[in-house]
Amino acid sequence: MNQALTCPFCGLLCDDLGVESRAGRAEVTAAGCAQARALFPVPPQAQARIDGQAADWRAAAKAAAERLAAARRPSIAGLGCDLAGVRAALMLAERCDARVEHRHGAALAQELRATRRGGSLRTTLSELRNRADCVLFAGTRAAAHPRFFERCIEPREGLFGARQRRLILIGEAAQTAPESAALEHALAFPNAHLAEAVQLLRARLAGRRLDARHWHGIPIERFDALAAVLRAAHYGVAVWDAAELKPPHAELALRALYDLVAELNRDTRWAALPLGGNDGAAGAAAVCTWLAGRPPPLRYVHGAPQDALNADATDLVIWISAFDPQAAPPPDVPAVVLARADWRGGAAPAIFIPVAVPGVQRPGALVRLDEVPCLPLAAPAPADLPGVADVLDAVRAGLAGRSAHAAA
Amino acid sequence: MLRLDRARVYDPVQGWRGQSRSLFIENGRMVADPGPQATVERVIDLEDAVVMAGGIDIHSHIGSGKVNLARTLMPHDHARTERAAALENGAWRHGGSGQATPTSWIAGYRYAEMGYTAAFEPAMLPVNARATHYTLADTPVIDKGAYVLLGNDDLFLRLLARGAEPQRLADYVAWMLARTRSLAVKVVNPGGISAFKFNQRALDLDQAHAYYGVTPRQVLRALARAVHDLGVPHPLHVHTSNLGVPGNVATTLATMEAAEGLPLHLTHVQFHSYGKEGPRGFSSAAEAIAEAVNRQPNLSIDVGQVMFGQTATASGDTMAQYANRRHAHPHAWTCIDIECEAGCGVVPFRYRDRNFVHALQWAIGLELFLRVRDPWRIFLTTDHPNGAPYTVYPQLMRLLMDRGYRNRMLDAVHPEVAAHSALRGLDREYTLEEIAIVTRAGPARSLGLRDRGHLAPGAVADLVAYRDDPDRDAMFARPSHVFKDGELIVRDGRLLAAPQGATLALEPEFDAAIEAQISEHYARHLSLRAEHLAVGAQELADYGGRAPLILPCTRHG
Repeated sequence: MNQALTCPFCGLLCDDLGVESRAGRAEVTAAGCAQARALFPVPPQAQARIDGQAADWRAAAKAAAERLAAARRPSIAGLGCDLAGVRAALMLAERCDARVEHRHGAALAQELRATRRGGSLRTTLSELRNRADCVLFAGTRAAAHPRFFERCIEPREGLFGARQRRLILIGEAAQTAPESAALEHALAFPNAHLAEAVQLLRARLAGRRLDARHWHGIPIERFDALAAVLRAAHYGVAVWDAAELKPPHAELALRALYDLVAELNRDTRWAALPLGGNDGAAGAAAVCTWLAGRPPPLRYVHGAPQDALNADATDLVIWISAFDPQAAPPPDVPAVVLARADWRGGAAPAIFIPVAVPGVQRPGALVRLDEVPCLPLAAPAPADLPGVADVLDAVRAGLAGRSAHAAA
Repeated sequence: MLRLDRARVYDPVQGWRGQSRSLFIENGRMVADPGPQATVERVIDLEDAVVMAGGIDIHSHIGSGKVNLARTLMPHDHARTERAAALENGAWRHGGSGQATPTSWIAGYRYAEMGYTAAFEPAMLPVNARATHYTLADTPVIDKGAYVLLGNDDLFLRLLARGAEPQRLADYVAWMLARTRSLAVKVVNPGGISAFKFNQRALDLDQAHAYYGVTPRQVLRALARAVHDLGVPHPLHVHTSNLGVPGNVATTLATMEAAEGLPLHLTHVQFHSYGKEGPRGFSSAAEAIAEAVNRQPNLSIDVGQVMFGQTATASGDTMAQYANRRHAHPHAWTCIDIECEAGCGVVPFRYRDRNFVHALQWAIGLELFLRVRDPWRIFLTTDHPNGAPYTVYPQLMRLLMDRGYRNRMLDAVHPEVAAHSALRGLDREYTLEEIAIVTRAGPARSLGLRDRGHLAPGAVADLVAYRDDPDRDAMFARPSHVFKDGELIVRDGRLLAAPQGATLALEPEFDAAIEAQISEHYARHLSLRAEHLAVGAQELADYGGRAPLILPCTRHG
């Protein structure tokens, strides 16, 4: 049995899983969550196809190169893969002036815009687990990260002795996760009002006078009580998940939360912990930033990287989903799909190339959702399938000499 | 075999001071003159160009996660982009962006184009080691390596507070060095990054950490001793307490004494050479610092020169960077408490020549360069990108070599700086030999790179030729030839090839008991396993880099 393996299926990258290989399929035998147990078993083989016809993966990559060369506005999207896959995607995009985007690019972009507009004071999972005596959940119950409570909140015996934690939720209450039952729901309101609520909280923390007695039916005294709790923390952490906040208010909410944290931090210690990073998003952001100067979405123009925050029309998408069997490419665009063998994310694409799942069938690396730790992925059930980078490199080789600026 | 004719070689290791001679290269290494019978396949006439070993940057933040944070906070820096293009040898020059915080491919090309063939990331967090090495693997042409950041990690502070034996601490340091593929050990604000997590906002050298009770002095001495006992070639690399605080000269001088004769490298000392005299409460203390360096042969420093323009400050020192946040330009900053291990703070910054403080910082750096007498113990850095991006090095070399130019610059900056700095009275001008020492021979010796930084037979054939030009800025900015491992990679400042460089690392031994203790600590308290910090040799090669080149863990005799 393989001990202490890293799970690639959400941004937490829990690295304590026991995994066994049975008949070529990985099975989680220790630790892990329902999602890990469902996603580790992946068939060792699947058929590459070109327009529905069975083909060898190299032939499929060659066909993909031909279509890419003919495309005017290609896009490499989904980007659910390991660091090496993202690097290969950028090297391909550079050759064919493609757009590069991640499935969770909207959340990444919201975070990016919020952090570029002021200060941000953040923390990481181990700091939260060992230090936090107050955790403010802003519009989230961390449902997209199944073991967040188990790994970061529930351990009370930390490096610095026993911790009593206040766990406070503000915003929507709709989602249910059993572990999150311990949350005190201090202020209940729709997440669309989060920015306004946090600004109100900041105003009261700053001692500003308010004429209103209520806000959306909530007495202002409830804000004051919450402000007092936050201020009393020794090490407070504000947690949110940008994916659960919708534009146009999301960016405002994130900015207000970062400002709240910075203001609380003047006297005591506070820090933020944005959740996210699923489907390799944190790793994609890191690699794109060190190689292309910005997280996705971005695009190459004449082989130079540029921001691409606004949606663009595209006439061919290379859709990458090595982790999620259900991630669907955008509709109505011819697609080359590089995905795990059991991918079923929509109608048969123009070209399908099964790829090895990093962390299950192939080694690799990913960045955790708190952006600093970078963890290795093992291959408990190696398969005779190419990696995402192998396929993208083959497409790039097939493209050589075809694209306009390659010879320039 | 390749022969280079008419090379005016400056190689301080061999005592060569610019006499014209021929050099011989075979299989990527320098070789002795093989005599007239030898077969020489290729001859290049260097036309009496000034030739030195390839430049070596001992302190440049090009690989760590904090640089990536800086990139995201500086969209304007990345609005100017470079296109991808095919190189002469058919290989590919990748596109990229950034001036102060260049993307990694571009960072490697730019170093090579100005004749630098090695650069070292000075602040690698163990939990970020994998990403750092991948980024360095994506920094082409140059050789590279990283210094592991210790001294604010809770396990080390616990061991120290409980009075662990020096041997135990050395085992811990050795484990971290070996597993994270590091070349040296750095400490930043000893204990202070951890103290900030306990809401301490300052921590002086003898002030106790609120939880552990240990002082920065104790942390510093324990680490310096461990590094020394392990035989790590480079001394403990120290970013002292009170970064950037007026009056911090007292702390810096006390830190130098705290080593009690053990070797110590103090980094970006310009940021730690401030007095608080004068009407603005900010003054130069470069003279006192330089005198202390001159007096204590166990010390070396690098300068962290400030040059004017937009850049980003990126440091592990969350305590200092949080205090600096209000100076952010553009107005965005990030600080992170990291994983019971360290921290980081990024504050974009613009140094203005008409700002008294910034211009005096500039003058303080130059004073240090001119006042420290032994060039083997002072290295040329801007603490890229903190003082300025490394692309200003040619201009900085001109400032050191050309007193008239330096004084004209001094006339152009904030008018009160000339009165508050002794710079104009310092008439020293660096010679080419001294430049060769502070930019290659000295850093190589300090890091234990025995076959780099010089051109004796057996040395790696990393060398650069500059057309002699009284305008030293122009001369150093655009070498006529750059060779990496014996291959001509730059001609007239233009990149011809972009091979992968080596990653240099140490593999000191440690007692197995420490591994068990570290594993237990991570498994019990932290959100990742200790074994996952380890960066494999094969995985670097799989990602596109090279397996690390392991250097011996013994100091120069």
